Amino acid sequence: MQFVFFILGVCISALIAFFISRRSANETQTVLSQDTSLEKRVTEDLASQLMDILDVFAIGVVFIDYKNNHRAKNKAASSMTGVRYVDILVNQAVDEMVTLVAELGHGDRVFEAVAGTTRFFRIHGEKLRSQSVIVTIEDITEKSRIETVQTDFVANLSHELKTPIGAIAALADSLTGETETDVAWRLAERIVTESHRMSRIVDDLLDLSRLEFGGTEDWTNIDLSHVLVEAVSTNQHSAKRQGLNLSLSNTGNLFVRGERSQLISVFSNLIENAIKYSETGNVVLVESLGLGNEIVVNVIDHGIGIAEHDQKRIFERFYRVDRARSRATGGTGLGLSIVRHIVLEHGGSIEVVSEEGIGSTFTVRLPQVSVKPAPDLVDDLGALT
Amino acid sequence: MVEIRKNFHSDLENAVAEVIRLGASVTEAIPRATAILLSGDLEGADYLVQADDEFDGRASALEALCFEILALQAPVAADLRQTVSIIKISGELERSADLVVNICKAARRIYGHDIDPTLRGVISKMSEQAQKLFAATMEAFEENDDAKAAAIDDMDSYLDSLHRQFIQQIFESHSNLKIDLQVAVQLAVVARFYERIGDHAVNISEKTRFIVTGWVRERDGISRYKAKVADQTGETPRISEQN
Repeated sequence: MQFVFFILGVCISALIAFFISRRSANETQTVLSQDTSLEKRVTEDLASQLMDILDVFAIGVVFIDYKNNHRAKNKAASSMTGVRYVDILVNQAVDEMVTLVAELGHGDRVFEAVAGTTRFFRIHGEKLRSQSVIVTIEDITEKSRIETVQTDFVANLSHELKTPIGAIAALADSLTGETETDVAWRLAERIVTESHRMSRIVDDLLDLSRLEFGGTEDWTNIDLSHVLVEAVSTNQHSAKRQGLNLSLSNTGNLFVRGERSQLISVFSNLIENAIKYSETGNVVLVESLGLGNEIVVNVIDHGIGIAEHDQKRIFERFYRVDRARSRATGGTGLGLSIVRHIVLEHGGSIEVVSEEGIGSTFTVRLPQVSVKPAPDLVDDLGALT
Repeated sequence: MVEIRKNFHSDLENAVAEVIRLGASVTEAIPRATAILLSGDLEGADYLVQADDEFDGRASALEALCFEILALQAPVAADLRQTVSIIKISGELERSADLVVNICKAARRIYGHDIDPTLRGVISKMSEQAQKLFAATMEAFEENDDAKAAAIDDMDSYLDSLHRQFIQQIFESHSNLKIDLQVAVQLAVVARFYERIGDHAVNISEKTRFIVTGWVRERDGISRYKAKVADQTGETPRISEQN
């Protein structure tokens, strides 16, 4: 960043030099007409080269030379976002900054605008010694997103760990003064539930960190159809209990290289979520198909769906769309971020398409490996289908 | 050729630029208000409600500028059409901004109540469509594009059908006891706000068509009326078609 500003500084001083030399060239024009035309050509070359250099930067630069009544802008400043109405608003903010800088000498503000998602821009203005004004526009959306993710993570982690600890402390406290067996029994039971919940969170966190440093030594070629059958059957019970129809449409031998239990936890997690957020009578469908050298698995539900602004964040650790609901459904807030880690680790990708009230589709893509299945595996598959 | 009426043209250009900027503000505020409504963001609602005063001030300053142009410069032909239309457009913009503020006020009123996911889905869609309409109508104005402006009316019919769908959905959700009456009424009004924003976008597009070609919508109505009267009486009524 400092380097960029250094380069900018150099460019700007060169631009000023260009304007000054152009003025002096004008003054001596009558005397040295041949020399000035050469000089003019050189300075023009220099100026266009400088503009080319400024065009490379992702930071928008607007330069206003009051003395020569000249205004220059690099490519980034002309179209910060590519969305027209947002560009208009950014330009308006730049104009306001120019007025402010002309009065105060400098200025700095963060400007936000909604273009699909909310974008943040830092607009910074300085008055130069030549009384010219320079304004830079920097898109800090990604930077502020990372900041939010970090602070949210710390806040959520402390909250998630604190809640069960607080509950256990309170329950244990009541237990010490309790003489009635029935009540003591109930309190002890609640303590067990809360400690399980806490150990689940810690397990999930450990899983995540293990994944982050995980190796690929014990990977084998795995038939994904087996993985899906297993993931579906472990969830069949809870689907029935909720009055849902959970079905699997499988296209047979699709091989991936990876770790079996991890892959099962990916699909098991996705199916679990699909069931959790569906209502009685809905259908949850898991379908897999091989497309060239990749395998596509869709987990489709017709549940409550996910709002657009949440869709981008659900894979973050501890991010929750609706806190009240997640406590009722008993999740740890880590499921989807574990899923995403495993899928990425396996060289795949995961995405979600969802509309509120219509339902969600989670699509997992994994690289397919072409393997002749061992004979016993073929029999195994025959028995399953 | 020497530009004689430099002041006049720079005034008019400023007025056009201000319309474009105000239009961009409205376009940007639509999804913002929707996010405020769906997330129950009271702080954001306050901010947008208060920002409306500045918007109103700018809209009336724009009108004043146009009156000044009319009084001091006596524009003719296309310039006259543009000046007069901007006066009308500034009203449409001001009204649209008010509707966005109304969405924020509704967000305050239903604060704390859950909105059924199906309804949330339709609200998002209506907001998206209203924003698309507004962005398109402002582009048509900026580019003096008659064809694009003429397309806005068709785009609006989708927003109208979303509005109808939404009202139906409210009835359904209410009969399933998913939302209470107070929220249902508020949401019905909110849907109306989006639909009205769409109508203002259509009005602006009609002004754009008038600026570019001199077309007026009412003329269709006038000729229908003339034909009707002529059918009944055999006489053509004297109604001015001047614009």
